[in-house]
Parts: sequence; C-alpha cells; structure tokens
Amino acid sequence: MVPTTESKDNSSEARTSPWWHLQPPEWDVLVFSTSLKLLLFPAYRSTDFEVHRNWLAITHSLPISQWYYDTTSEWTLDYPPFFAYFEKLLSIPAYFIDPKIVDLHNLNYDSWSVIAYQRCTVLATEMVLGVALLRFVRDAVDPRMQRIISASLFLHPGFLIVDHMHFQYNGFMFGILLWSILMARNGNRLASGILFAVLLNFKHIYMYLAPAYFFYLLRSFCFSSSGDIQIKNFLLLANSVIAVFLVSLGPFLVMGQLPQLLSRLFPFTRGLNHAYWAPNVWALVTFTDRVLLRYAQRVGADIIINEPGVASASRGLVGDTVFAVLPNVQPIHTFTLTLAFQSIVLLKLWSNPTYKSFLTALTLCGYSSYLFGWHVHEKAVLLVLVPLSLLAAERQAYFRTFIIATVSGIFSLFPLLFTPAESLIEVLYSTLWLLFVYQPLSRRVYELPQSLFYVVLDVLEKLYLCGFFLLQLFVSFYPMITAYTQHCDSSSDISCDDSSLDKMQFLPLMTTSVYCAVGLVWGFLRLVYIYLHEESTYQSQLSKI
Amino acid sequence: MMMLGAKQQVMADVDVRRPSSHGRPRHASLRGPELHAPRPRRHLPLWLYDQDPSPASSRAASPTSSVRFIPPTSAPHTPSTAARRLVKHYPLILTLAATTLIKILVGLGTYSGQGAPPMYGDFEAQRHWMEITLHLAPREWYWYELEWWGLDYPPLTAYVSWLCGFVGDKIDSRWFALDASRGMESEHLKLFMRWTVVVLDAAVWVPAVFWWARYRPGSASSRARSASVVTILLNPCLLLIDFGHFQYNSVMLGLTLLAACAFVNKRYLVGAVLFALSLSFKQMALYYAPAIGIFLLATCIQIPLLFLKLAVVTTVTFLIVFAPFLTSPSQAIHRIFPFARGLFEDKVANFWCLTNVLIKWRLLLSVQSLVRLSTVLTVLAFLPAVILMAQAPEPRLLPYALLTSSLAFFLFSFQVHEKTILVPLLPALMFGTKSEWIPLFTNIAAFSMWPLLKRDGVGVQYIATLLLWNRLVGCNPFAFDSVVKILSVAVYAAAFLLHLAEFIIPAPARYPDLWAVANVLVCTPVFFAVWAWSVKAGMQERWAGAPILTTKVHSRTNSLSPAAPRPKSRLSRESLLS
Repeated sequence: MVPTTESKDNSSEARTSPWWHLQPPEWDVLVFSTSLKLLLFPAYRSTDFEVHRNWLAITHSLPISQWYYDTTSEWTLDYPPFFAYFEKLLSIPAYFIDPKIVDLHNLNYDSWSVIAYQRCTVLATEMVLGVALLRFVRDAVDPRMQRIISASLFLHPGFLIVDHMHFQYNGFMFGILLWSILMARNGNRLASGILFAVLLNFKHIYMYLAPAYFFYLLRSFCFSSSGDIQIKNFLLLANSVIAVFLVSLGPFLVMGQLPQLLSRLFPFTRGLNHAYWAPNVWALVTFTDRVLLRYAQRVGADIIINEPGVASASRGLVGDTVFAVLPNVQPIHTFTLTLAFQSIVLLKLWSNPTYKSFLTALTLCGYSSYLFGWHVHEKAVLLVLVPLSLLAAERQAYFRTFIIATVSGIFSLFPLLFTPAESLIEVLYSTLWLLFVYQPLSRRVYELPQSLFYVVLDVLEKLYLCGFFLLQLFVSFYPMITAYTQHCDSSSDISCDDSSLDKMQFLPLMTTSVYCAVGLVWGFLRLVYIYLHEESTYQSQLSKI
Repeated sequence: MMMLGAKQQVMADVDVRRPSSHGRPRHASLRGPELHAPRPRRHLPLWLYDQDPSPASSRAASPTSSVRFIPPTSAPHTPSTAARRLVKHYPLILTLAATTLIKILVGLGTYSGQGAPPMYGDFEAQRHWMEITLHLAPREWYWYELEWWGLDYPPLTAYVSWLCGFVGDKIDSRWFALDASRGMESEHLKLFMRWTVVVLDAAVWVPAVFWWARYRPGSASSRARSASVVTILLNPCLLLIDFGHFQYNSVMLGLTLLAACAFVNKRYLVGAVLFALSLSFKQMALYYAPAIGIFLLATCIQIPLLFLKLAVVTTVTFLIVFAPFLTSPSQAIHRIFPFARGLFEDKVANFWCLTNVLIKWRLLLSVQSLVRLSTVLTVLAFLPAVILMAQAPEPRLLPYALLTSSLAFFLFSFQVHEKTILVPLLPALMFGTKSEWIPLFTNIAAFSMWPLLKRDGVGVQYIATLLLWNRLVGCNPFAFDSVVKILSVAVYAAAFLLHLAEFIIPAPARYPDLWAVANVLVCTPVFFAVWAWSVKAGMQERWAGAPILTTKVHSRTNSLSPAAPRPKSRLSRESLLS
C-alpha cells in the first residue's frame, strides 16, 4: 500500500514534467519563505553585514593584488578566493545601484539601498540551495518524505537566524554542499568531488567535512569494489581538484601572496572558546572547571589552583579561557581528539562506502570537528544539522538523534540575536518550524521501544527536550529579575557597574551553552553508536522480514 | 507556515466527510482492495501532514537502502491519537502563533513618522494620547494643547490609551512623561507600542475572526472556516496599517465583527452594545451605521419590545462611555468630526479626488455646500443597503449591506483618509474569497494605500504581505476564465506599470502628486465597481435565497493547458465543495 495513489500521481507527474515544474506545496514553501525573508529585511544585523559590505568595497575598488593586504577597515578579507570573486561579482550591480556601497572608505554605511541590496543577494543566492533541495525531491525513492526534509532545510531556522538576520551567505554555500551530496547520491562522484573542492574555496570551514569526502571518493571512485585501484579515475579526480584549486589560488600563487593569504585564512591566535562558548565538549570542560573552582574555594580543598584561571573565571565573557583547576588545553589536544573520533568513523566508511554510510560519516566528521575543535563558532553547528537532516526520515533512531541535535543546535544559535523583537521572532519561528517537521516525520518513523532500557532513554530524552522550555523562560526572565533585585535599569545603565551587567549577561549564556552542549554531545554519541554498531544489526533484522 | 494550521483541519474534514468529492463513489472504501487506499487529496500540501500512520511505509529516503516497505497489518488503520489531537486542537493555537509571528515581522519595519521631526506621525499621536490620558483629568483630554496631536477619537480610544500608558509607565516612566516625552523614540518604546497592538489585536480582533468564521451564515465545513480565518487575519491592508503604519484599527473592526457574530446568533442586545463600543472606539464605524441601524430597526418590527430594549441598552452604553464629557459634549464632538479640515487632505481614491482632476470642487463651492452635497451623495449611495436591510433583515445579507454602506461613505463622504479603505474591506472579507471581486478589492485596496505606505517606508512589507496573502487565498493573477478575472488582470497590469513607472521616473516638479493621482485614477473605478457589485449581489442573494456565488469560481475544468493542472485556489475551493 505504500506508494499510495497520491504519491504515484505525484511521482508520475514529476517524472513527465521537468524538474523545475513546481508543484503546489513547493510553491507554498517558496512563496512563504520569500515573504518571510522579505519581512526580515529591516531586522537586526550583526557586524557581519558591514564585513560583507567592506568586502564588496575591497573587491570593487582595489586590484586583485591588494585584496588580502588591505586594512582600511578592521574587517579584512579572510575567506578563500572564490568568495572574493563572488563578492567581486556582486559588487558590479551594487555599483550601479548605489556607488557609495562599494566606496572603500565609507565605513559602516547603512542606508536602505545597501541593506536592501545585500539582503536581496542573500535571498537570490539562496536559490542554489532551493534548486539542490528540489532535485533531491525529484528522484527520491519516497518523494513525500524527501519533500518534507527539503522544505525543512529550505526554511531552516538556522539559515533564518544566521543568514537573514545575523547576515551571512550560508544558504548559498550549503546549496553547493547539497549539490555535491546530490551528485554523490546520483552516483556522479567526480562531480561531487569537484563541487566540494569549489565549496572549500568559498569558505574553508567546510574542511571539517573534508576527511569524509576524501575517504568516500578514494574508496568508491578510485578503488573498485574488489579493492583494485582504478588509476584513471584517481588521476581524473586528482587533476580536477587540483584544477579547481589552481583557478582559485592561481592568481595569488603567481603574485607570491600565498603565505599572506593563508595567514588571513588561518589566524592561530585565538583562544579555546569563543566569547559565547559554542556548545561543545570544551564548554562542558570549562563549566566543570568553574564548578570545581567554586567547590575548591568553598571547601578549601587542597588543589593546585592556577591563578590566571581564577581571573579568567571571574571575567566571564571577555578574554581567553584559562582553566583554574583542570589542566589547560592546547590546540594539539583538540586536533588529536578530533582526528581520533573521525578516524573511527572513517574506518567504518572505508569498509562500507555506500551513499547512506557516506552521509552519516559526513555528518559525524563535521560533528567531531564541532565538538572537539579549537575556537569553534556556534554558527558551525549548521555543518552538523544540514547533513543530519537528510538522514532524519531513515528511521526512529536517526530521527531521534536529528531532533535532539536540531533542537539543541538551533537553541544554541539564539544568543546570536539579543534584541528583544528578534529574539521573540526566532523563538516563535523555531517552535513552529519544529512542530511542522516533527509531526509528519515522527509518525513516519515511529517504532515501539524494544526494552525497558529504551523506554527509560525515551523518557529521559523527552525530559531533556522539555527542559528547553524552562531554559527559555530562564533566559528571558533572568535579566528582568536581576534588574529588579539590583535596582539597576538596563536602559539607563547609570547605576550599574560593568561587572554586574557582565554577570547578568553571562549566566544565561553559560547555562544555554552547557545545556545545549549536553544535547549535542549526546546526539553525537547516539549517532556514532547507530553508525558503528546498530546499523548492521538493524539491516540484518530487516532483511529477515 | 501559518496556512498549515488552518489547513490541517481542512484536511481532516475532507478526508472524513467527503470521500466522494474527488469522483470516487462513497461506498468504494468498503470494497476489499481499497480498504487501505488513502483517498486522493490532490493539490493540498499533504506532505506536511501525511495521514498515513503506517510506521513501516517506505522508510528509506535514499536509493541505496534495500529495505523499502513492509506489508501493512490487517486491521484498517485509524490515524494515531497524537495526529488526531493535532488536527483537532492545534489549528487555533497554530494559526494564532503563526499570524502573531507575521505581525511581529511586519512590525520590525518603520512606523509612520519614524525619525521625522518636528511633528512625527500617527505613532507619536497614539503615544501622545497615552501620555495625556495618563497624566490629565478626562475633562482636559479634548482640550489639551491641540496643536500637538490633540485627541480626535472617541472616548473608548482614550480609555484604551490610558490603559496602555498605565502599563507602559510601570515599565519605563520616561516613555509617557507629560510634555517631556514628545517625539520620544527608542527601540524599547517601539517594541512596547508594537506589543500593545499585538495584544489588543489578539484580545479583540482574533477572537472576532474565529467566531465569525464559525457562525457566519452558510459556512458548514471547517474547511470554509479555516479559509475564512486565514483570509481575514492575514489581509495585507490591516497588517500594513496596524503593524506597519501604526494604528489600532483592528479593535474597532473587531468590535463590529463581534457585533455581526452576535446578530447572526440573534443576540441583538449584545450586538448593539458591541457596535456602540465600536463606534465609541473610532468614529469610522459610522460607515456601517446605516446598514446595522436599519437591520436592527427592521428586526424590531418582527420582535415586540425589542425596540425599547435596544434603545435603553444603546443609550446606556453611550452614556457610560461619554460620561466624563457630558458636561461639555460639544468639544468632543467637534474634535471627533472635524468638518473644518476640508473635503479631503491627501489623495484618496474616492469620488471627490477623482473628479477633482477635472472639477476643482473646493474653488467652486463653499465648505458648507460641499458638506451638504457630499451628505446627499452619500445617502443616495447607501440607500440600496438601507432598502435591502429594511426589506429583508437577515444576517446572511448583512455583509452585502455593510459593504454597500461603508463604500458609499468611503466614496462620497467628507474628510476621508486613504487608510479608511480598511472599513469597507472588512465586510468584503467577511464573504471569504468566494467571489473574484474580493481578491481584486483587497489587492487594489492595498495598492490605493501605496503613497502612504511609501512615505512610511514599508515598501518591502507591502510586497511580502501581498505575496503571502495572494498565495494563501489561491489567487492566480494570470488566469482569464471570467469577465472579472480579465478585468482584474487589466487592473493589476495597470497597478504594476504604475509601480514600475514610479520606480524609474521620479514625479516631475510641476506635478509632484502625479503618481498619487494616477493611483487614484486606477483605484477609484475599482471601488465603484465593487460598490455596484455589492448592490447587485445583495439583491440577487435576497431573491435567490441561496448563495449565488458558488458557480465555478476558480474552476479547474477549463484550464487551457493540460500540462499545468495547478489549482488556482485552494482555500476558495470551499465553494466548489460545499
């Protein structure tokens, strides 16, 4: 009964008509998303908006040899060359719309013309994502489920928060990533590799995912299934990828600017945590350190306390993280841990190089980098959530992981927006989004828990998810309570000294970060377990039926 | 996404009650092989609330997975309880949450007079009223320094302003400090003011819309109900004026709509009180007065003693509302009805502004005779509504009469603002979108406010809300299947060209109002046509006794190309099904 009359109709219609022929629900999503994002034009923008405006100005007014040297603004160009070319392209219409947009010395320009133009470019370039997601639906095994997933990605609160309010071009770049994944799904591995190389040259953060690509392409494209190397494929792939990098880096290589470019791309001068701790393992470790310090100070326990660490703990938001009790973490430690977890996953991928296995490994690669990486931004959680979404409808275990990681991940993005109107919008929108994604997917994949252990787990996870509700209440009302108790009016900031204001902001942020970190780490462990262990048993169980 | 909440209920209804609506015999589901086959629900975005509860169905989204489906269990399935609960109980909350989201999003933009000293705009007017009502005794409200946005709305607005000011004062006393706060602008103040609109809207307008959708004559299915709710709640004009420009029109409109709900339920006294409250919130509700007044009077003939009760109840209501001003009522009346302000101020798409292109009324006649002339014309124009209501005081005819009457005032009366188009728009939306005139009227009403919206800087919101609403009601501007449709396309084309021309060519210095006048030239004929339609349709409805508008409105049968059997309307197909 499964391919119902309806889905037969749908798929036959989809097969006869070209893929860009949108069906009514797809129109709904497109129109709804467009109007929503248009309404967000006047919303809060972070400094990233000025960063991108400045890049428009740099690429438009300076010769290519100056791009990575210019320091007129503090927001220097620190994305790879393809992104610079992309900005160059965008700066041409910008010049005709308002020449002041691309004026290098016109810092912090924020007239309506530049806002509308830059927001429009995000909206327009996001169509790359839209088209990729549409292609995913078109030849999917189960178009209906895939359509829900595609719609959920196109309307993802992460993109809404990071791209359409905070301001970045993630929709565009994840569009390229999804194209690359789509190519892998369709068996066109060469195109997949080339697209990923292109993507790397747009934004180097996608290196988080590179190991999975490397192993998958090497195993499934350059080796035959029996294990013989296919030298022709290998050369084809290697040369294509090198060619992509040459197109991107070539001009700078010729000018001898490669060291300067790399120093811009990889500034190794930052601390372990970002100002707001990204919810990863290090947030948990830092939190443990803070708790231990408090405990030691109160009990007077005989522990060696690192003095700069005490200062760091009391400073709250500002500055590097230095531990007071626990041993300090060096970049090499984070690097080793990341690689260790990735290699476990990659070994499994090597033995089972199917598309689905690749997708899970890809997610896990991004996931380990996010959880164990050095100076991770909270925005990087999209690298986990986007590929994970593609797995959401597989079955209950994946779906549960997806829900836990998505809820924690999106919640961890909330502190990006701190203005009251925008905060309300993100919470309301994310809740609605979650309801519409949860409802159909959960019914599709529902399975009864098999044993008491799973029942307990199920209840605990549900409790954890309900906790976000309380956490949101705490985050919203904590500043008001402290403002009342300390008699300091946040809008007047006369009677408030800096430290109390700082503390007022810090506690909710730390709580958010730690609570989300618990969910994200648990989601990671779940996914690793599913991938390494349960997958094989589950498949064999199914094949018995 | 707000459409989904509404549609979920729609879905359930179609499934449960109308298995035959897609050409399948009703008893077909009793035959064996079709026991499990879901009924086709074409053209609904069913991927979002797929009714198929089988957990095993096609769980693989990837082509590489070999296991795809498991045979269904033998028992005929029912939707899971969670699903049923969602479908049953969520539409209200979801619709409310989603529309609130849209409202806050529209509110992100600028308000009228933001950053425009010395006088600012309607936002400052509303804030100023909160300031004076909070700090002054009621007898001073209509007298206090009138040159700075003196209060010119009836007392209920003043009381509501006092309430808002009282709450706001507790949050931040600087927002409403007497005199010192004039022209105050801050992000937090803006947020607070926006929230007062959202809260008042949720308290009056939203329940009114839900109740109307429930009680309106001839709406049997919940499908029609949801359609009605979404159509009214998200109509772009009200969103743009209340949440963009900044006003509290939804309270006045909501009170009138509640009164209409009461009339449908034969609660004449409650309805009369509600309408009196609506009148004492904003005098624009007077546009409805002829229709409602005659409706009540004609009803009184059928029911003994009703007239006496109505008279007492209405008088008492007005007396209570106007109590603080009874010692010197003339000032309040003078402020509320400013005949001294002239025939029209800005360009507004009514008879006077249209004919002013050729006949300079204000030079020809004195203010006194203009008032008289406009009164005579207004009365002539709302006469059909009065006659209709007098002959057949039936609630199902009420929207037609309200539309005729309010459009008569909009087109011919004295001192009309472009925002006032909201008043005729309410009865139009009360029909749902079962006539092709309604989408045209709504879109053109929004277009007629464009000069104002442009000044307020809410151009993007204008595009976004229009886009959203038209998609929601399933209005396809490129279909030519009836006379009205062809007319609509022509009007849309004209409006679009006008926008384009205005964008490319700035108005010449000699005629700074060129584009505004062109706007009036496009809009006024449409409003006249809608007025004529309301008269004609009201008459037909009266004699037919049954809805005349159920003929194939957005029919799919005669679509030109078989390759594109896309539905032009989802929500409005209620009329086909009912």
